[in-house]
Amino acid sequence: MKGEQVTYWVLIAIPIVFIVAFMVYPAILSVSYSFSHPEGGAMPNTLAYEQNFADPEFSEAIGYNLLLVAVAVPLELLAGIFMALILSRQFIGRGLLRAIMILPITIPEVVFLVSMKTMFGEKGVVNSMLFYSGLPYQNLWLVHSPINFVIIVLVEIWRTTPICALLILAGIQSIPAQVYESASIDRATTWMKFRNITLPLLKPAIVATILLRGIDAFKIFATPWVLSPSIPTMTGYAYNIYYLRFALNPVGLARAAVSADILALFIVVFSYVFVRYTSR
Amino acid sequence: MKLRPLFRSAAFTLLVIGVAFTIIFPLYVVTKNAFVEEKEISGRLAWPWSPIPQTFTTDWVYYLLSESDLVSSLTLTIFSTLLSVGISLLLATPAAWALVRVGGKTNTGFRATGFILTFAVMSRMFPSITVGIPLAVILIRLMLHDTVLGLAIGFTLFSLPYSLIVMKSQFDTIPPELEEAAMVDGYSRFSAFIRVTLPAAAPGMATAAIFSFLFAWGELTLPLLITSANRPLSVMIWRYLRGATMAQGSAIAFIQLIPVLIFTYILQRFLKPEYLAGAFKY
Repeated sequence: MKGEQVTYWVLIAIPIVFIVAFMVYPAILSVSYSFSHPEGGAMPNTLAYEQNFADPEFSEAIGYNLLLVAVAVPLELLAGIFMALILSRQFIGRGLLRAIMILPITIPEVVFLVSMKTMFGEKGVVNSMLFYSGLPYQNLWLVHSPINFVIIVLVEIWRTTPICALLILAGIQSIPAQVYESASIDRATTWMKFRNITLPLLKPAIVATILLRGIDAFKIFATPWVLSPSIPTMTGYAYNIYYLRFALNPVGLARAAVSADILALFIVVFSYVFVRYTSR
Repeated sequence: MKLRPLFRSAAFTLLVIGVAFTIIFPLYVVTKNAFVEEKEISGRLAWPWSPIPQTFTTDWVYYLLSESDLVSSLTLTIFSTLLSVGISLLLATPAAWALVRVGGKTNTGFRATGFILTFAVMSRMFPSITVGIPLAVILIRLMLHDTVLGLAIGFTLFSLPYSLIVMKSQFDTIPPELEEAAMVDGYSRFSAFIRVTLPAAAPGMATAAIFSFLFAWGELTLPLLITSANRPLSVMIWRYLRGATMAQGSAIAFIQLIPVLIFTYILQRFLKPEYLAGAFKY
């Protein structure tokens, strides 16, 4: 019996060791990179931090990144609840809609971005539709502007609503039907049922959705990098610094690590505060 | 009096069709791009964009499949993705089984579900950019940089926690009595697991495998950081994304899309919403 327990713990430990070796350890290395001397000196220092914070593009990237999270996540959650409510009803073609809804989860990000380039390009779909309907069209969708921000948020909503919807749907399906029946006997309207039954009972599902979606929203990279090339997110900033501006040299390594680590710090703080606040 | 419900159900149907259309339309745009001639993408037929293709050519797809760069990228993507599915299942399946059995009948107070969810959420908290740059350095030191195995290790980081969730919920549904009955017949605990429990867990393994495949197949940020010469398909498309013409990019995207559509079709048949808790990819 004792030997069996040991085997169990070894089997459990293997994936943990794998994650620690290839995920946690690199993250720790990243912190040490951020304190390394950009010119290759031996002493740890904060030069890379100073250089980053002196770069206006860096604070712009942080602000842009946080704004995207703050705007996109609540909208994704609302769209997810809306979709889940649709899917929780019985209608013809429900199975088909659910199958279609999985697509944004499984479609590679780049494939979708290729499509979005065609959509919003100068001779793209959106401009053509405006042209067909006789409206003035523009070719400024993909330069930095409030409209561009809206487009990026919409694109993110397209890609992430299904995952939010499926999580919320799991929550909706766990609510017993009798609760709604007794509410109907008391002549509750649809809205009252949603407001007073569905929403409170959905709280755990909503909390999980915001936590998981929030964590991932911070990491946003490809969509703004492709659709709004002038302002990067934090991942985009690190990528630009390391691969474009200081192609693969120690200055770039240290400064990219600074951006990456601050991003990781944001995620940790967000998760900690959110879990603390909601688990009370 | 009868009109109102009719109106409401019509509006609902329109809403459903609208949602489905919004999801499918971008995929149609890519597919159309991949099969029309140059003049319809940037030439004289390009403006205004027509929803119906006016020309048809398979040149782009043929061209890409004969380009040695892309063929090697395609094989790299296929092999590294499959290898990562293998590693992920090989590590996650025994671990999930052990997690379900470790408490045994003597309740040790160990909560496997809580452990797995914490593990999944914690490992999602590491951004690709934070992990990717040092991981590239580590892989260079291990001589695994730009190899199939190196890429597969990167992919597995994302699919492993997810496979654990799926396998754990699968093993929860298999009664331990099944294994114990086999042990009464003379099997050891471990061979009972291999011969009895594992075959019963096949649906969960299929789900975990397909999801691991799909995530690795479409992953962009990490391969962008940890490869330099041998690059997977996502990164090949990435190169075209800031360029002007979308023809080649669309053709690669179309090639990348085919297995995704096939596996998504298989997947939706046995997908449970709760599986997705750890499946946050973006």
